[in-house]
Amino acid sequence: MRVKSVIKYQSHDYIKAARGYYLTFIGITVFFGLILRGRGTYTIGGYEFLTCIFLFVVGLSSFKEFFLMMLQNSISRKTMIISKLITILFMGLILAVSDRIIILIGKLLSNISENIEILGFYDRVFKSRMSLLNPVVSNLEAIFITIFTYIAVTLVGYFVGIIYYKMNKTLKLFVSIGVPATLFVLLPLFDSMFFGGNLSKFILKAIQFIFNGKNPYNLLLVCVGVIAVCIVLCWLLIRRAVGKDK
Amino acid sequence: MSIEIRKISKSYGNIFALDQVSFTFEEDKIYGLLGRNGAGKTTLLNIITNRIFPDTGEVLIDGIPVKENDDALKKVYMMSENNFYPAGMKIKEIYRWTKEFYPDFDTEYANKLADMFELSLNKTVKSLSTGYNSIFKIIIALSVNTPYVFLDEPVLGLDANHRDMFYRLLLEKYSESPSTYVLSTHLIEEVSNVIEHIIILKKGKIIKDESREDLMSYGYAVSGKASLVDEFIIDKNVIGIDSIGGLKSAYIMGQVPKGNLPEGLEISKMDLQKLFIKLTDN
Repeated sequence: MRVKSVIKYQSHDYIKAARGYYLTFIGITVFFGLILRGRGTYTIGGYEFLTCIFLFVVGLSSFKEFFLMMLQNSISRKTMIISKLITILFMGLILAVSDRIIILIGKLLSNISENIEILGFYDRVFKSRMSLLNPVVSNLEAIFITIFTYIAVTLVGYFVGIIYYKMNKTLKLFVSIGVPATLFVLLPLFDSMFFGGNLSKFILKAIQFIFNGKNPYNLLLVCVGVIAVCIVLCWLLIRRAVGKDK
Repeated sequence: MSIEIRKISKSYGNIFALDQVSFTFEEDKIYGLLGRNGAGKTTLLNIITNRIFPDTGEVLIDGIPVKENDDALKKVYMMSENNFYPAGMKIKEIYRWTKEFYPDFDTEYANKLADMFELSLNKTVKSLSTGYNSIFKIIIALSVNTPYVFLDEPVLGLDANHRDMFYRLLLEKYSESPSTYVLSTHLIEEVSNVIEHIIILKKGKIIKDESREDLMSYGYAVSGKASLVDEFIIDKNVIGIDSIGGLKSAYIMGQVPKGNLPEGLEISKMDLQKLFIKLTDN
């Protein structure tokens, strides 16, 4: 009963955010479509990437306020995480289906008008595979893979949100500067100094393995792994999380 | 039906916030949880409502351990000094969601109270003054209809009229549908006529857990002409004195002396605040 109430509360927030996201997207698309009419083509390649960024931000910003509101309403942490996972699953499903519909409408529009071109990420990366499959199957497969991608991205955002909540101000500042500095400055530096560029080659190979253009199930496998790890880590962090002053 | 606190300890670094605290909140009583700043009152309430965890010990609500247990947790509501509600949320939305999480929440009664306190339901939490921040939470606490309601500094920022209204509404609500109310406050004078049982915390330990009547019988007050009072208290354990002009009131620990009082002196009940200061003084 309480799980249902918590899902209802979270879905309300998520749906509100998603509505804003889609309205903004449609607004921008229509705006550029009109501006570029007869003068060029408005192209969005890898549309799902936009949704991934949106979901990461939603996940990132959804912990603190939700957690405190649940504590105020005497909801256990166990119920919080179960409800959160169910909500994320449903959101992943709804957004994946919605995005596929938008991509299909985009394809239809691009057949009618040359002004707008909306291409899905899946359609671009796994182009060769899509051409081999029946369109219904390929679209269903795209939805299936996208659901897992969206869940993984939201959970990563959520996990980072919990970590930030648990950190003090100094640590937050340290991580905010330290992580990008490590990834973009120290890592390439150490790689060239100590590993002879092998680290970069390994990362490149890993990316090629995930987005190899032929087998989308490598991406699925990675997403499932990320989801599993995030669930465990989120639970370990939430189970001892306490209410803090705003 | 009760909340049982069993050997709860909680420390923050080297500081013991609570040290082996054990007692029981019985059903349908109004409690006063009193203590000086840093005595451990809020820590205790946060542990009872599963917001923080104790180092040792456990809390049982109607026999069920409260830790991470929704069946036990749904029986409690805590109005806290800190605001845990989303700052951008409107009060009417908060009431709607409270109804979702606490199905017995009486929306009609909450709206009636909002009218009485002149609280606009269309305002957001962040736009409210300190006083109205307390008021919207007081309204939830009085309308939520859970068996146990905890109010941590409920009258923070409230003016005298609103404080009076709150105490009156609390007593009205209690007489119509009794629940256990626990008031944690510094305003001892004000709550002394509302509470029936008092728990006093001092440096993380329970030093008193008694009915108000029993606690008040620890001493008495004597008042009259200053010279007469001075003479009367010579061999007594005086814990406080109030003087106005030529009149004096002295607060004395111990039993009222048997026999006739000197003419011109009057005996009355002990002042709870004076007693509290005496009991919690270092």
